[in-house]
Amino acid sequence: MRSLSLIALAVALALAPVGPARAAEVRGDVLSPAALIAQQRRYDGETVRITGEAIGEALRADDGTVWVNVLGEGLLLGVVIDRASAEDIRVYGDYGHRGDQVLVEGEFSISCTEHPGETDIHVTRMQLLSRGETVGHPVPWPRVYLGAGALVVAAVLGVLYRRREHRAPSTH
Amino acid sequence: MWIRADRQDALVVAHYVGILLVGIAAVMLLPLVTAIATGEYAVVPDYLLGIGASAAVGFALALAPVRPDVRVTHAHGLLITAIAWIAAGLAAAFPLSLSGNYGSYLDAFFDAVSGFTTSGLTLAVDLDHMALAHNMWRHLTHLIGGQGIVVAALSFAIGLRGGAFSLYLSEGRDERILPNVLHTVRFIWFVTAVYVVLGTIALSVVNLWLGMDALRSTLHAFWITVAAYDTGGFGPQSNNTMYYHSAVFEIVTLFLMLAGMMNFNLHAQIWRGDPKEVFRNIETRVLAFNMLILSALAAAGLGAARYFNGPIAAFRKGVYHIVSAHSGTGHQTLFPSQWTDGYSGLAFAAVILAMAAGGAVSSTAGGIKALRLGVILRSVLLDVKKSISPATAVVRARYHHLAERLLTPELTANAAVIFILYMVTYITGGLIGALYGYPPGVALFESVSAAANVGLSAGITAPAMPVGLKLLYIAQMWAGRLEFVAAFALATNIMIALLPPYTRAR
Repeated sequence: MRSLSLIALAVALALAPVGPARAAEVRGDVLSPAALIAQQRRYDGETVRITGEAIGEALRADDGTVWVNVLGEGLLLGVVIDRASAEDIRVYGDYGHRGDQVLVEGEFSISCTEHPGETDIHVTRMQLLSRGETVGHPVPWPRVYLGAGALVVAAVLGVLYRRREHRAPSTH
Repeated sequence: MWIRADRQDALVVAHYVGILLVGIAAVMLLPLVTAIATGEYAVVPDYLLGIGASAAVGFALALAPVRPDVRVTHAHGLLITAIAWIAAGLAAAFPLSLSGNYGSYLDAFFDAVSGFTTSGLTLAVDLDHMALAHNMWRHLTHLIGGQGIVVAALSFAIGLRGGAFSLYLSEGRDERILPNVLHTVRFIWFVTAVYVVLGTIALSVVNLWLGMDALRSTLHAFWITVAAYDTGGFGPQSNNTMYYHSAVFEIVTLFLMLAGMMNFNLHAQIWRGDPKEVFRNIETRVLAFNMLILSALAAAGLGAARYFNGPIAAFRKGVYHIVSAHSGTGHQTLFPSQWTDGYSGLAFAAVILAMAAGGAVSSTAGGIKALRLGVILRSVLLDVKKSISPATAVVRARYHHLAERLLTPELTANAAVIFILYMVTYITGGLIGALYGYPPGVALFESVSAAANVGLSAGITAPAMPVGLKLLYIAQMWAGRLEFVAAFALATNIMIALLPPYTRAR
């Protein structure tokens, strides 16, 4: 019996999430970064859950941790997460990409004691909601034609201007 | 009796505004090249249109039939400057309005004016997904406007027909650095180039260490350097310099802001091997005193509040914003709502005072300016000294600004006039903001930020802002950058044109 218990415990440990912030289901009220900052005093020092898009890139924080900027409802908030967990984020948002949508849980601080001067969340759990994707931006050909036309007009006027300046005496 | 401008005056103004628009079109080649180099081909047509339209209108205006014997006067200089800054904003807004990152052409025009005036207030939407080319253009407006649109044209002596010094002065610059004004403007660009190169290298190293790739490291470094040294304040990401979460990054920008708020004459003195001028100069003394006092107030305020206390947090949130405000940069490491929720009233007031005071004359900073504040303070002390001296005593005051100078009533009067104009603008803008329903303190903060070309925002400046406030802040940014004289000259000429019975022809 004891052996079976030990084996069951070993299997459970083997299947347990690795690292403090591996992707796992999080429960409870979920805020956007904008909603969190709007009520920052209420949530200061509390464990919060926010959802948003990962933007830009992961940036070095301390040993073994990185900053990830999460965008939600127009506000970009930095979260501190262990480097291994951050590697689950593969697509970061920019002009050509919509970044991974993530849900993170962790302690929110208006004025972090570990990172003086930072308003941040120290992530304890992260869940990947959806993978980001490439965003296409097709070339607007009507604008190309209009632009070419404008350049032709500018060139003609430019030539006329240069001819006049060559003919007119300059004064200082 | 007011003198009415005639047809030739209008043609002179049109000619020079046209030349400047052609210059703006030329600079738009840089974001065009950025779009091609980074594969943002969908953005290329925006700049083809922008370049074509700006150059076409520019050349059309430049073809104005000005008589060869007409010379550019000081009055022309003021009108050219006032109109050129508006025209440049309209032209620069064109590609931005096509980006999809602005709700309207007015919003794009707001950002263009904010860029050129090195204010830094922004109405951009979804900035974190903006094309690199559009961000390049936004930050280039700081580079051109920081040195002066007219100064930029002067440095290339584009299409000049004389009046270089009048044009130089009309852009809010009080002093000549070198005997020849063209040499002066080229020196200004030289100093700028040195700081931009050094700052870009320093921040690129920091960004690479933080983990950014080479392209983003370099572009972000260049943009933030330009924004900091030209005391503009734009940033490529929506949370500005908070994006990098790096005290080292903030310290580098701090040095750039301090360099940008210095009088270009001081830079010249350092280049000439006389760094002692930095310590003797009335402007640096006033700035140092102000920043010390206001930083102490900000730190005390933060300490009294629950948040951002402790020396490092007080430095990153207190001192950083005092320097950002004083220099007129507007780089912000707070969310807008945190100014009124978490920052403390005393620190908030200290930042408003820093914004209102501003940097040095003949720098890229805005505000009332340290030299004027120093002159006014010396005048007050002089009056006190006179009042307690015997009636027969001759009491004079001197100050050191590049040389020993005597404090004269004319100098005091000039300083006082500009001081009053700024204060009236700050308060009027605050009152109008309050009329729109915003809290008075926040409305005053935003008004001072706009008129002093700072760019810190307590949350009013947003795409959903009333149109009336957008127009008000545009006018404040424009008038503040030109230190009112050029703006008044334009307004006066318009009124004269509408009231001919009270005027006479030249």
